[in-house]
Order: sequence, then C-alpha cells, then structure tokens
Amino acid sequence: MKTIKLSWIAFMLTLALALAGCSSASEGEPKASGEEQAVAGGELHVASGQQPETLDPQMSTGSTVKTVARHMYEGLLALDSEFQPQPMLAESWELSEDRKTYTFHLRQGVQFHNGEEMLAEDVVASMNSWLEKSSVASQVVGEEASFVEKDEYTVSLTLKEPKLSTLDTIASPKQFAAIMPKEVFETAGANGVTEYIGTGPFKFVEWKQDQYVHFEKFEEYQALDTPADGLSGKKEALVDDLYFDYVADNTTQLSGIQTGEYDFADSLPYDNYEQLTQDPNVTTYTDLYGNASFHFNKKQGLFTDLKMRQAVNAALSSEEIMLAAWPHEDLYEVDSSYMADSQAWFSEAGADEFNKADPAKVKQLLDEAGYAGEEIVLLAGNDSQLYYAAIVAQEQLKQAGMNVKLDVVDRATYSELRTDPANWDLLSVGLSTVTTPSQHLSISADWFGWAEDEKLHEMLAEIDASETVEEGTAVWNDLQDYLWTDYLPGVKVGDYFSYYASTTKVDGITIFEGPIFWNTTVTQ
Amino acid sequence: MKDYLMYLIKRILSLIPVLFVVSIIVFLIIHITPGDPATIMLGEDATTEQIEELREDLGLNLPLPQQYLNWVIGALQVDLGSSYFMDESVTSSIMGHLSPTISLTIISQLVALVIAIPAGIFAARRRGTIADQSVMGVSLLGMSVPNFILGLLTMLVFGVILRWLPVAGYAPLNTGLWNHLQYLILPAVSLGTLQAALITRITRSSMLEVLNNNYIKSARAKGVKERQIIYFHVFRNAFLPILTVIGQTFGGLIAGAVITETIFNIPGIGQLTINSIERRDYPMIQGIIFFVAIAYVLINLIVDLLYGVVNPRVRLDRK
Amino acid sequence: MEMEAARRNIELLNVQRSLKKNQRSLFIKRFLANKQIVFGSITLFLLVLFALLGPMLTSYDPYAMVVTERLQAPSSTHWFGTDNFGRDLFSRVVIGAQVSLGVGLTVAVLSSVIGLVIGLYASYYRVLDHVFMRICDGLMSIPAILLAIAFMAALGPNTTNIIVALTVVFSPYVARIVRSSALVVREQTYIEAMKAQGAKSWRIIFRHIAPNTISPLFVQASFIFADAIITEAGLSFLGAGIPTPDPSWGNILSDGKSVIYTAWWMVVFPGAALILAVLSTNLLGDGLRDLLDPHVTSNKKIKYRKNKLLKMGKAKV
Repeated sequence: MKTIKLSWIAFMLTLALALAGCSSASEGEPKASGEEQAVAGGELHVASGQQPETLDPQMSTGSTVKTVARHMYEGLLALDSEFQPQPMLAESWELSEDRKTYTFHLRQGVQFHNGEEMLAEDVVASMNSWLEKSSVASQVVGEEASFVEKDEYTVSLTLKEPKLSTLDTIASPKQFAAIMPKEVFETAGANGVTEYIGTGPFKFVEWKQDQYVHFEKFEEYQALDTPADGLSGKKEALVDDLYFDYVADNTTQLSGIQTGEYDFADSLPYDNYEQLTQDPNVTTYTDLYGNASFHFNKKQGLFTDLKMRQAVNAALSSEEIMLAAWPHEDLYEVDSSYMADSQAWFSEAGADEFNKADPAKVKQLLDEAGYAGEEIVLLAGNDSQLYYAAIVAQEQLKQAGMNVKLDVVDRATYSELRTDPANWDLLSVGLSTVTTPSQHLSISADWFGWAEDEKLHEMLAEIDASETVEEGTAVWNDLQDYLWTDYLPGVKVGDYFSYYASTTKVDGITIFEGPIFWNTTVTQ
Repeated sequence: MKDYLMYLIKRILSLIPVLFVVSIIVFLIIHITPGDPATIMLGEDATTEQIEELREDLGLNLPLPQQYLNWVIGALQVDLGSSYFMDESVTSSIMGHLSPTISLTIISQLVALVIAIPAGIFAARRRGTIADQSVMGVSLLGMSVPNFILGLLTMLVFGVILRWLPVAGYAPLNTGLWNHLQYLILPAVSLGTLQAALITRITRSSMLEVLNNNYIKSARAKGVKERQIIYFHVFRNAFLPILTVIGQTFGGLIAGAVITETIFNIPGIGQLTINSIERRDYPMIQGIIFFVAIAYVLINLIVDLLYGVVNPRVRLDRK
Repeated sequence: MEMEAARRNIELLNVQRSLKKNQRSLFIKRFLANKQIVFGSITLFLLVLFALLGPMLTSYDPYAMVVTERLQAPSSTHWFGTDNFGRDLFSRVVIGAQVSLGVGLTVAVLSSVIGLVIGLYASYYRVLDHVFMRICDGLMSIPAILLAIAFMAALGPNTTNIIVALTVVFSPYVARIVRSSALVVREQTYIEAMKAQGAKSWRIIFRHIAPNTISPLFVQASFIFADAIITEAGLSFLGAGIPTPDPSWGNILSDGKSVIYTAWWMVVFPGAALILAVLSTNLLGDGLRDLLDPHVTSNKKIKYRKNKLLKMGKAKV
C-alpha cells in the first residue's frame, strides 16, 4: 500500500510538472503572435458541442454560455491565469478601512457595441441585475447590498460585513457580471436580455438557432496595454468573423477537425486524444474543468449517516474511475484538494482519507452503520464523461457490498430529479473550478446535497471574514481536513480536464476556463 | 369534378380530429416529462430557489389545462407561440429549419430512384437468375441495415479515409449548387438506402405483374423490340405503384432524417426536434410535432389524389 | 353387417388419417421448399441459441471491469475484444442479444395482442371504430422514432419503459391491419346470421372473426419484431434507450460510436448481430406470408407483396 502511494505521488508530481510546462507554453504564444501581427482577418470556426442556453451570461451558470458570451461582454474585473482579479472595465478600485465599501473607478471612453459610452449608470444597472440573478453573488455579497453611482465614472458597493471573496466573485468567469447598456434591462424578459450589446473585442451579429453564433470584430474596441494573461490584459480581435458552430456529435467534430472543416473543436471523443496529439496537422489543448465528485444526499436517506458516507469513501478507487472516464493521463489528476493546484487555496489536508479502496474498512463501516442491503440510488446525467465515471463507481460499490442502482437520465431530467432529496442518494457531479472555497458548491447548504453542517458554515464564515488570503487559507486547510475526516459532503475522486484541438493554421489560442479566441489568428 | 371536391373537403375535415389527438398526446407527454426549460436555462450550478423563481416568471406553474387552453387558442390563430430559448417564434424557427430537411429528403429520394429503378427493372427481366437473386439479396440487406450504422460507415470511408466529401455540416443552396450538394450526398445515401431497397422490390414486382399480362405477350409475339417493350409498355404501366411507394415513404424519410441530421450535423427539422426535446422547449416541441403530423397527413392525401389523377379507374371513395 | 360397417369405418378413418398425414407432410415440404423461411428461421434460431448458450461459452462476467485493459482488439482471450471499460465484448454482445431480441419479441407480442383487440372491436362497433381509429391516426402521424423519443424522455430510460413506449408506437399499425381484414369478414352472411340468432358479440368477435385475421397479423408481427429491434437500437444510439450498465446492441453501438476511429470492433460485432437479426426476421416474414396464404396464386402473390411493401414503407421509421 505504502509503495503504491509513493509511486502515485511521484507520478502526480511528474504530471503536475508536465502540465505546468504545457500551460506556460500556450500562454507564451499570444504575445508572440501579437507582436508579429502576421495575418489578421478571415473567419474562425469553432465547433461547439453544446449550444449556449442563452446569450445573457448573467442568466445562466452553463459553461457554454460562459465561453461564448465572454467574447462579446466584459466585466469590471477579469481573472488572470493565477485566478487573481485584474482590472478590465474598472481601471482601479479601493477598499474602505472597515473593509465593507468597495469603490470602482471606471475606464473612461469605453464604447458599447451600439456606439454609446459606458457610464456609471450602465454599470450600476448591470451589476444590480447580476446580484439579483446570481445565487453565488447574493450569497457572498448579501441580499441587501447593491451598487451605487458616485459620479459618471465611479460606482461603489457597500457590504454589511467584510467578505474576503467579494472581488473574486465579481471577477468570476462563470455566470459573470457582464456590463451592458442600462436600456437592455428594460426590454429584458424572464429569460434574460434579448439585445446583446457589450463592450468586448467581438460584437454580436447573429444567433442562428442550432447552427451558429456569429460575432464580428468590433472595430472601435480599445484594448488595455497590459500583457494578455488569462482573461485579463490586452485583447484584440485578429479575425474578422468568429463563428461558434453547433456540432453536437463528437465523432463529427473529430472528423471535422481532421479535414479542416472546423478550426477548433471543443467536444472530441476522449479516446482519440492520444491520436490527435500525434497528428502533425492538429494542436491539442487541455483545460482544467474541476472536480469529479460523488455527492451525498445529506437531507434524507441512508447518507444522513456519516458512517455510510465514510463507507462509500473507503470503497472507491479513484484511478479506475478517472481512467475509464478520461482515458489518458493528461486528462485527469487523482487529487484530494477541493481547490485547484494553481490556486493559493490548494491544500493537501485530509489526503489520508482519500482514495483508499479498502474493502475491510468498508465492511467494518457498513456493519457499524447497520447497513442491510438497502437500495442506494446513484443519479447521473448521460451528457458527459461523468456518466462513465458513474458506471465504474457503481461497479466498485457493488463489489464492496452495497446495493447500488444507477439512474442515468438526460440533462433536463437530471437537473429536475436532483432538486428533490427523495429521488436520489448519491449524485454524480462535475464541479467547475471556483475562485474561493465559499463558492464551492459541494459545501453549499442550498445546493443539491444540502451541506447544512454548523461547524462547516462557521469555518466558512471565518474564511470570508479574514483579512488576507494567507489568513483564509489557514482556516481552509483545517476545514478541508474536517471535510475529509469528519463530514464528507461528497467524495471527490479527482480533477478532470476538457481537451480541445485546433488545426495548425490557428495560432494564439489561450486556454483558461475554456478557450479564448481573441489574440488568435487563422492562416487562410 | 364535384365528387373530387367533396372528397377533398372530406379528407381535409378528417384532419381535424387527428390533429386534436396529436396535440393532446404531445401536450401530455411533454408535461409528464421531468425537467423543464427553467432548469436547462439556468445551467448546471443553479439552485432550487433560482429555478423556482424562473418557473414562476415563465408561467410554467400555471395549471396544465390552462396552459393547454392557452396553446390551443394560439394555435387556432395560427400562432404556435415562441421558443423559450430564442427570441423567435416557433413558426419562423420551423421555417428556418425546413429547407435542409427538404433538400435532404429530396436528394435521398433521387439517390434511391437512380439506384432502385434500374436495379428493379434489371431484376425483373432476369427473374429467377442469380442476378435477380443477388439484387434482391442486396435490397434485403439494404432494408436491414439501420441508417445510423450506414451513416457512420459512409462518413468514415468517404469523409475521413478517402476525403472525397465533407464529413458533416451544411451549406445553404445560395452558396452554390455544388457546395450545397457535397454536404448532402453522404447523408442522402445513408438515408436513401432503405428507400432504394423498398423501391427496388416494388419496381421488380410491379414489372413482373405487367410482364405477365397478355398484351405484353402479344406485343412480343408481334416482334416489338424487347427494349421498347420494357421501357414503353411495361415500365409505364408499372410506374403507378412505384409512384405510390415514393409518396408514402416520404413520411418515413422525414422520420429517418432525425437520426441522419444528428450524425451529419444538418440543421434541419429533425435536429431541431431532438434539441428542443433535450432542452424541454415546450412550445417548440408541440409546434414541430404538430407541423410534421400535418405534413405527413397532407403528403398522404396528395399521393392519394395523384393516384386518382394518374389512374382514373381508381375510385376515390373506395379508400 | 355390423362387422362390415365397423370395418368400413376403420378404413375410412385410415384414409382420413393418411390424408391428414399427407397434408402435414405437404405443409412441411412447402415449409422446407421456401428458402426464405428456412434461411431466416435457421439464422434466427442460431441467434437465439447464441443468446441463450453464449454465457456458457465464456467465463467473463459482462459487467466486470478491468479499466486498464480497455479497448483491446479481438484476441484469443477476448474473442470480440474489450469495450471502453475493459469489459469483455463477447459476453456483452451475448447479453445484448438477450436484451435486444427480448425487447423485440415482447413488443411484437404485446402490440399484436393489443392491436388485435383494438382492431377487432373497432371493426365490430362503429362508435369505437371512430374513437380508436382517430387515436391510431394521431399516433401514426407522428414519426415512430420521434414518438418513442418523447415517450422515453417522459417515462425515464429503463427496459420496461422502452417496451411500453414501443408497444404504444407499434400497436396502431397492427390495429389498422386487423381492422381491415376483420371488416371484410364482418360483412359476410354467416356472421350476419349469427348476429340474428343472438350470439354473444365477444363470441362472434373472438371465435369467428379473429381467426381470419391471424395470417396478416402474424406477418405484421414479424416486421414489428424487426422494427422494434431497429428502433430500440436507434433510441439507445441517441441515448434514450436501455440504460447502462445493462448491455443492448443499441447502447454498445452508442458507446462504440465515440470510439469508432480507434476500436472498430465495438461497432462491427453488435452491428453485425443487429443486421443479422433484422435480416433473418425480414426473410422469415416474407416467407411466412407466402406460406400462410395458400390462396394467393403467384401473380396475386406479387400484388400482395406489393401491398405489403406499401404498408411497410409507411411503418418504417
């Protein structure tokens, strides 16, 4: 057991190094191409496996909404590649002495796609609309807090209590705080805004349902002069037209990228990764998505009992699950940290309890819990690799003596069934990377699984109230240890990556929380 | 002529109960289906509270009979509602997705005819020989291969290995005829194979039926050239049932397009249906199925009418 | 005298017996002479045998995973190779055969029974005819695969639901055919006479009308069997069919679809099994029709087949 573990750590280290090498290489590219200005213009066709549910990024937590909409919209802040908030539409900000009031100074002369200048009133309307729609935002900032106009180029936000993660939340790329002209909110319906006007390097042209979203270069865009880094810094549209073509079938995407039908493909069959890395006409990219996890229903049923949760944790073997679902070592990491290893919050606390696959311990725990073969419902969606993970997990739990029924359903059914605690015991989920622990859904009391633990939320509040990140990480370290040993909101089995491919004609793509197509050129 | 008109009116009136049944079936199915537009729109990380709020805003919490009534009232005014996900009415969305499906089905039908009619005639002329048996064998195989397997295989061979044709996608007709066609050839072949098999068999049996008639025998006895007999006498008379099978299988083609469009990524009615079901876009699902049902019934009606026009001996009311 | 009579009786009986024997052997001869039937039923029989005895040929558990041995090509240890979880593909195709053939058979039987009852009653009572046939028209005007997808989304994916969905989809086709052949019988004098004598209607329906609809019903059932197998595979291919980890040919193909460029065996073996099953059923159906309808002369047979094809074209998804 010990030697296996050691070799794992060694393996993980090499993997981490390899990955670090990868990401730094891809970050280097945009600057180079920016300097050369080699070939501007032309069309870039991105094959997208999902159609965005909406083009109002404030509306949806969907990841396709995020990756498509950010080419047209911008927020006050944007994350750099280390997940740190950097200026975007706000040129600077300050925090009051009591750490409750944030003041943002807007960049002057920023134009919306409709030709009007962005002013404080637009920012206030947009930010308050976002506070209303985003549950993460209202949780972090508080229900009552809202943005207020100070003068034409200054807005402020006053909180009831200091919150460490305020800026991270505002800069978060998911369900992001896009700034739009205030008029669009007047015509918006229940399903979001219907006029798509932003400030980004691309402007909206057309959304042909089930076919494509078409953007074109926004000629009047004024880029920042700081270097491009993650989502922050200099952004330039180097192609005239950007298309997100909706291509649902992953084999179609594969053949399309091989024949050059598409310049970039985002949902390729995982089993072709190896083959594509060796294809001289294709460049591949990996992108950390987040945690693959099996989440417990802690509101009702068998898993209200900690012993049962521990039994599941002791039964699962991560490598097998991850390998079956993400079948290449570049595409997964067996790792116990809730937060990503590129973040300050990364922690190895509680790792002893992780990935044990210890049948004797399972048996002991099941006996202690008095388990007598009751049916455990494992709910999984059929629209991602997590489905394969769920199949392996079911088999492992069965081998360990648990009676698991696997319910595989489509996305809409999955989203509906999981809202009711009577429908499931174990939920297969992929949790996308978040910027601070308090946004982590697996420890949210509201999110499915209902982590309503007092000690947990006390510690979270402590993190939020801390003055510096260092102070916060110390508490988080203890909290993560508590989560693994004494609470177990779910079992995280590992981190997984999406992978993408482009043809070699494409240059300058950055990958950060999905692909980024500004500063990108295509040789026609 | 008066008979004809009466018949037409009767047939069109008989559409009404069918459409009523269809609308109820569809409405019930989609509303007992778990999941709704709100859960999809808000994305994977949304909370119960958010979903509930949006549901309220979208009117998804109204009692079912009321929702149905609202829909029927709209439908009676030729208003099928609008999509939850797009700022677009259901009718214009369907119209936007119509032309790829029409192109695909017509080309499939053409592919089928080009293969099937010569093959059928050939088999009929050599009845009982090995040639006949192999044509029939191949057509039987064609009837037995599911179109999604065929789609994958043609894509693999002609798209990826040989690279003769684009593997997937769609270009509208106004981008040039060849550009339009090259995207549709592979899907049309995989969709048209079943058609081709059915038409080969019907051509063969209709030809045989006519060949056995006395007037053909006497034409032969008179020394009319064999080729002339086949193409002028036999085929002309055998064409009627072939026409019927073409018309009647058109409905089947539209259905087959569902899977083919998904594999080849063609933005037609089939893909729109699958996507709408996946995201629970209720007005859209209802609208499309309603539309397809009308189209299906109308095509059958047209075929029946054509049958009467081409062959006046067929009395309309017999059907 | 009595002796004589008895002897004659016995003689007569013997003649009768040998006549029956002749008839039977004639039937068997015609059965065997029909190549389609022979080939179709042998293939189908072999497939059933494969499904039932297959598990004994292999020691692999179709559910046991060895993830490190995923996607291995066919070899002497794994005859059909392994799938994307490292499960033995041969044993999965075998169990898949049980599932796919089982679903096909159940759907064929259920929709025949339901279609028969609906068709018979529709033909007998005018009011029921209107109600039933409008519902059938409604169901039939929605393309089968779409209707099945919608049903599966509503009911949730499991084997029972797929049987329910496909039965609902296919019953109207049986009902239509039963109704049209029953209508012809209903108009005949002896039925009228029985009605006049006050025979119970269920007796007339099931004892006298029903037997006349059996031949076309049989033939239709065989085509539904094939269609149900294809539709189930299509549904599973689109992710709305038999849920994993249970194998069916359809969902093995669906998993195989995403690895078609690296693991051909995951498409070829279940695909071949599927095609073989459908092919042999089509052959059997064609042959059965010829056999069960002794009145059709060769020319009429052609006409009959033609009508059959017309109907099939309608029914095909």
